[in-house]
Order: sequence, then C-alpha cells, then structure tokens
Amino acid sequence: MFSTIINTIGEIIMGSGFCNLQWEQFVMILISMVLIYLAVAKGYEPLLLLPIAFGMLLANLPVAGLNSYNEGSLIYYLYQGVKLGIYPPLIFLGIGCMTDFGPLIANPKSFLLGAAAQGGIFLTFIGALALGFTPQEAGSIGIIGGADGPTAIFTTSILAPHLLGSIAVAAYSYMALVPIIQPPIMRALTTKKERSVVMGQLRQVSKLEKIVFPIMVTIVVSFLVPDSAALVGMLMLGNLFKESGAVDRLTKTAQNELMNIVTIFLGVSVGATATYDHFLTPSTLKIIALGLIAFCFGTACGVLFGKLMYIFSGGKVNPLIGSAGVSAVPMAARVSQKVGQKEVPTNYLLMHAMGPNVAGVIGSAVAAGVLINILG
Amino acid sequence: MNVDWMSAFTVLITGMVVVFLALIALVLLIMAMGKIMSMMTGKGDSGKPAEPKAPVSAPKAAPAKSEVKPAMQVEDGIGDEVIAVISAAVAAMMSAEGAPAGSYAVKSVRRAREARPAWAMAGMQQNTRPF
Repeated sequence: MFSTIINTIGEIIMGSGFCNLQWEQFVMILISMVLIYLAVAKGYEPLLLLPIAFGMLLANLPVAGLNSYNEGSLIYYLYQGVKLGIYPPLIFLGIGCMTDFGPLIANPKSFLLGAAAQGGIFLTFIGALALGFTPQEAGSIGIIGGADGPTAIFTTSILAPHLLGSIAVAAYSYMALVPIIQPPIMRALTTKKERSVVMGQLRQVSKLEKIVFPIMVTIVVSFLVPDSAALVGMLMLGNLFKESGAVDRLTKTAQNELMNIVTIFLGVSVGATATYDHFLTPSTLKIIALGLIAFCFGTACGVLFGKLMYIFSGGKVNPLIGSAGVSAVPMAARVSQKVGQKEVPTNYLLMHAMGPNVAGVIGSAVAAGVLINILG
Repeated sequence: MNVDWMSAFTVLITGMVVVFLALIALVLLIMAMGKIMSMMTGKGDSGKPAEPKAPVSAPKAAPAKSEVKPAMQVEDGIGDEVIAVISAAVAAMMSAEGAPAGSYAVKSVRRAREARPAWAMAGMQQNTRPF
C-alpha cells in the first residue's frame, strides 16, 4: 500500500508542470510578466495588453495546453472569434460609437492625410519581403503601420495566423509608444515656421451631415474595396447608432458592455497564440523591428503630405496634423496638439488633428482590404 | 531568397492608389454634401447657420460688420441675466484663447437642442475615458 502511495505521488510529480517545464516556456512566462508589468505599472494600452500578456502566460503553462491551437481547450473556442474574423469588426462597432467624425466632415481634406499615412504599411511590406517573409506575412507585418489593433489582428488572422501573437504584441506596444516615437520624426521633418501655423476654427457640422456620413462611407468604401466592408461597415454602424440619437440603449451596449466582453476574449485568445514555438523565433524580433519602421514611415508619410498641403494651401495647414493620420485614436492627435503647443502655447491643433486621425482608421481599414484582396 | 520585386511593387503602387482613390472619392462626396447642406440652410436664415448657444463671429469678419452693429437676436424667454452670464462666459473663453476684446460680438442667443442631455454626456465620457 505504501508503495502505491509513493507511486501515485511520483506520478503526480512527474505529471506536474515542474517536471515538464521546458526552458522556452520559462522564457515566455518571463516575457508575459514583463508585458503585464508594462500594462499595469506603465499603463501601456492596459485594456488590451493585460489580457494579451495573461493569454501568453496561459498558453505557455506546461502540460495545461491552454493555447489557441489545442482543440478542446477553453481558449481554442474563444480563439474561433479571431480566426473567423468576428471580434475585430465587433470592436470596430464599439469604436464607431465613440468616434466623432465631425472634424473630418468639417474639413474633408484631412482624409488625404489619413491616406498618406498608410504609406508606412506598404513601405514596410517591401521591407518585410526583403527580410525573407512571404508576401502574406509581409502584408500582415506592414499593417502594424496602420496603428490600429483590430485591423492588424483582422488582417493577420486571414493572411498569416501563425504570426498573430507577435504582430498583436508589436502593434499594441508601439501604439502605446506613439508619444515617444512620433515627436522626434515630426520635429525633424518640419521647420519652426511650419509648426507654428495656427489653423482657423472648424465649421459647425449639422446633425444631418453626421447621420449621412456613416451611410455614405460604408457604401463608397465597400463598393470600392469589398474586403474592408466588415471593418468599415461595423465602424459606421456604431457611428450611426451614436449620431442618430435614436438608439441610445444600443449605443451604450455597443460601446461599453459588448466592447469590453469582446476585448477580453480577443486579448486572451490572441495572447494565447504566442506559444513558445511560435513566438521564440527570429521572425518575432524581425517583426518587432519592422513594426517600429512601419510606425516611423507612417508618421513620416503623414507629416510630408502635411507639408505638401501646407505649401498648396498657402501656409494655412499645419503639417503636424499629418502624423495623426496613422490612426492610434486619439493618442496620435494628442501628440500633434502637444508638439504644436510647444511652438505656440495658444495653438489648439487637437480638433484639426482628429480629422486625419479618424480618417486614418478608415484608411487603414481600406489598406487592409486591399492587402487581403491581393494577397489572400 | 527569391523575392518577386515586380509583384511587390505592384502591391505597393496599387495599394496606395486604391487607398487614395477611396478617400478622395469620400472627400469629394463630403464636400458636395457640405455644399448642399449650406445651400439648404442658407435659404432659411441669412448667412451661415448660427451656433446654438452664443454664436461668435469670426475674428476676421467682425471689424467689417462692427460699423453696422445689428441688434442681438434673443430667443423668447431668456432673461437679461442669462444673456449677461453667457456673454461673460464667451468673453472669458475668447480672452483665454488670445482673441482681443472687440474682435468678436455675440449676435444671437438661442436655446441649444442637444441629442444627449448634459448628464448623459458626462456619464458617457466617464465610461469611455479608458478607451
């Protein structure tokens, strides 16, 4: 009997995580702890980075098999929402409810800045190809430059699902670092005179315009790029909820409860794709480097196009608002405001920068649609 | 490593062209919409539609109009005290933004018709702040 007890205890010990831990799993658990620290203590996009980091921790627990690939595990089922492209459009629904497209309607030219800043996506695509990634992988890496988490996850889940973990971590980390990455590029590419431009007040936008806008954007964008219809359609549905003023209850649910639930599912299951065999590879380091390049290129393209608009408008457009075209709402717009205010303390660029900022969301959804169409 | 640069640059160029095309189409449509809206509202009122609460004329336009000084249009049921408070608030905001006194004028005072009450707005802002 005594020997049976010893044997059973021995089996339990042999089957425990301590005896089955591989060093790679240990490294991954350490990485997840660093990310949890960044999310909690440093406030780096905590709403997504925290679930992502904990998902990574779960996925790398020895024996438990709680990862997104292990059929039968809890997270495998949650992951289906990512794999089937359900969560990102639902997140966009909530974002639509919270977005005010007024500044963009008041100054539609800011759409061009939102388009220019997508240059980072396509330039990084070329860079990723040069580093030996397949075209599908390169497209998914490039989309990090769109600075839009849901769009990046949506595109990657279709084009290169095995890179989801690395791309999500890179995208959300850099989005949190926007206030550090962007200002030096913005200052390097503009002169003091350009940064000091004070822009005129935006016109008032009527309620009718705000209601027509989401319907029009959905039709135009979905007709042109059908692959982005899911993202743009849900974004605009959320916005129509908000602007119509007729469905307050739906607006409230979409922007609060629904969005929070989906955020948890998305974060944990995306994090749980980062098992050590998928994450601890040289390509993750390359992705993190390329993601930074994508952000820098996107910012630079936006600012350079802003300079172009400065010239053509006869000095009425402050090129600093161009950098907000990379999306990362509303952080990138706040960066434009801050850099502008350093030159002229009474200059309020925030609302002007919100135009390119929300245009960037539409722009990156369109860019994602184009990439999915060509490479998918 | 064998990269098909031809197709890579095709993706780059078509990508940017399509993104710009889509957004330029939207620019044109929204500009057209703005024109139609201002035409529609322009027939009813004279000039631009006034701001709901206390419209302040643009600093540049004011000096030309200041010679005429039309009487302030006040909606029925708004007392003098309320107008004084609104004017004071406008003056405080404008001086905070650096506009010199006399470069603007309160032309009319109307009740704002908001889709969302102030308290609902405050609640929404509180709920959405983390995003």
